[in-house]
Amino acid sequence: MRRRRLLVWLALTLTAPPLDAQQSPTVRRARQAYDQLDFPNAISLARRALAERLSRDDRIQVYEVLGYSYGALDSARQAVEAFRQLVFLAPDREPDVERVSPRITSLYASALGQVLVVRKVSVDSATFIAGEGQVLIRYQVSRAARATTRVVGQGVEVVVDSQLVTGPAVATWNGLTRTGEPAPAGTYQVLVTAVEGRNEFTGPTEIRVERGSVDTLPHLTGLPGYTFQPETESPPRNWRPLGLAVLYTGLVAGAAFALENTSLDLGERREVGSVSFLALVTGLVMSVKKPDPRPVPANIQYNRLLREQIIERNVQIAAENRRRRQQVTLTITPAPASSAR
Amino acid sequence: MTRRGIVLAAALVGLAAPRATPAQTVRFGLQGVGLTYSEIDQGRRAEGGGLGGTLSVRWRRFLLDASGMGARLDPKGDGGGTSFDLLQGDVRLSYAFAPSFAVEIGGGRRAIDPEFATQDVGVIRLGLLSEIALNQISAVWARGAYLVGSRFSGGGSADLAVELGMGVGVGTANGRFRGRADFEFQRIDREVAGAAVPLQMAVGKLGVELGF
Repeated sequence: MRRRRLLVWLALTLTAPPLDAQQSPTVRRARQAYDQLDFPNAISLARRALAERLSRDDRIQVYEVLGYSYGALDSARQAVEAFRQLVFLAPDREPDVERVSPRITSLYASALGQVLVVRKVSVDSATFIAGEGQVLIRYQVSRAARATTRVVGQGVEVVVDSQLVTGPAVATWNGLTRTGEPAPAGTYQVLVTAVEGRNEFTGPTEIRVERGSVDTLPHLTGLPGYTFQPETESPPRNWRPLGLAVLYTGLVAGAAFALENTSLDLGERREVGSVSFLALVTGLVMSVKKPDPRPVPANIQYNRLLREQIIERNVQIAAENRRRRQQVTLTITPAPASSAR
Repeated sequence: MTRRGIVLAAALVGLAAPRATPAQTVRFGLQGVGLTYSEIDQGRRAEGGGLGGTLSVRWRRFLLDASGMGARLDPKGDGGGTSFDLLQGDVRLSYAFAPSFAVEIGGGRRAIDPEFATQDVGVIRLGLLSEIALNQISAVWARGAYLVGSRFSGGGSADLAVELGMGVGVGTANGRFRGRADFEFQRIDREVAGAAVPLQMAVGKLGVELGF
């Protein structure tokens, strides 16, 4: 009996967290009483501590002291009850089989079998192409239950697995969202929810998703070797307008003079003179004036064909880029323990 | 110049017209008119001015052109005479059978007030029209016509009756507004009972047009 108590004490001493992590003096005294093998006092102090406002870590300590102390005093029912509370608070915390007595381990296992919890949720590190590879999500369910595994984060929620399990189980995620797109980079929560009747328990863990760079093709604004041609051109200045004005004016004015009835008098011929003068001035001004740009049909047609070629090529590039974006490499790693709950 | 010469001149104008004139559906305009009118001999000449208006409708290859003018003329020659009012209306319908080159048919009527100050004249014209753009905003045109079936209030007939015209227009690129100047010359060798009583008139017009 004395030897067993010594083993229990050693186990608790080696597995217990440092005292400075405990905030409550009562919890600290209960731990000290247990360490001195004063189990009744340890139980009494632990019970008193439960009436206080305790942190989560202190509550874990209290139920652990209670479970071990009741176990040391052969109070199996009360030890199992304390371990059940401990399991709910810290599902992943369990006695070290190398350092505690088989009896206490047995009592803990008995408590574990009475409650539904998801334990030891972990994600393997993996690097794979989204949709083609997968990452393994490992967990344990204490009792037979339907376990649903979800990945939540970055505006994404995807159910990756749902199965009836007992004990250790594995789910896989191919890295795709519900819409089939590769998951965006960032931190995600992996939630494994076990449901058995009206009992439900969710075990979380966090992962980080990093995306490899995607080598997409740039869209084209031009085709190599082809350049857009100006669609208008300013014709060179020429004397055609003046020439036409001289021709028309000369023909009509000359004909009018030639046809004039010499037996009649048309006076100073102001009409033909003034209109001819205006026509010639107009022709001169239009010749000197910088010509207006005019469209170049051949260049317009060339540019239209070139634009069609670029649009067609960009459609192909867009399709290729969509395919490449689907081929993104994901690196999934468990998040550091400090950020995991 | 003979008839052959007129035809040759019109052909030259047509050959010099390489481009089609810009299409415009409807134009109307207002013009100031100055004219010189003479008849019978060198002593009978009158000059004056007035207002005129134009309306033209272009549809495909057809162009319907109507114009009118009213003017007050005063005697300027040595032969005396009285002042009179002249009211003239002309209608021309042309069909472009080639770029910038069209055949033209039409009629005209000139009324004089007081009635016998000179002759009222009615004509039917057959002719050619050539219009060519100098650039996007300006154009020149020329026309020549032979006047057939001339009728006069004082009777008589005319073996030779011709009409010449030319003009220039400058407007906005969209064709909405245009200023234009026109010259028209008309010679009618009227004979009454074997006696020559010719008519001759030169008209200058300057105005603006609105196009739609």
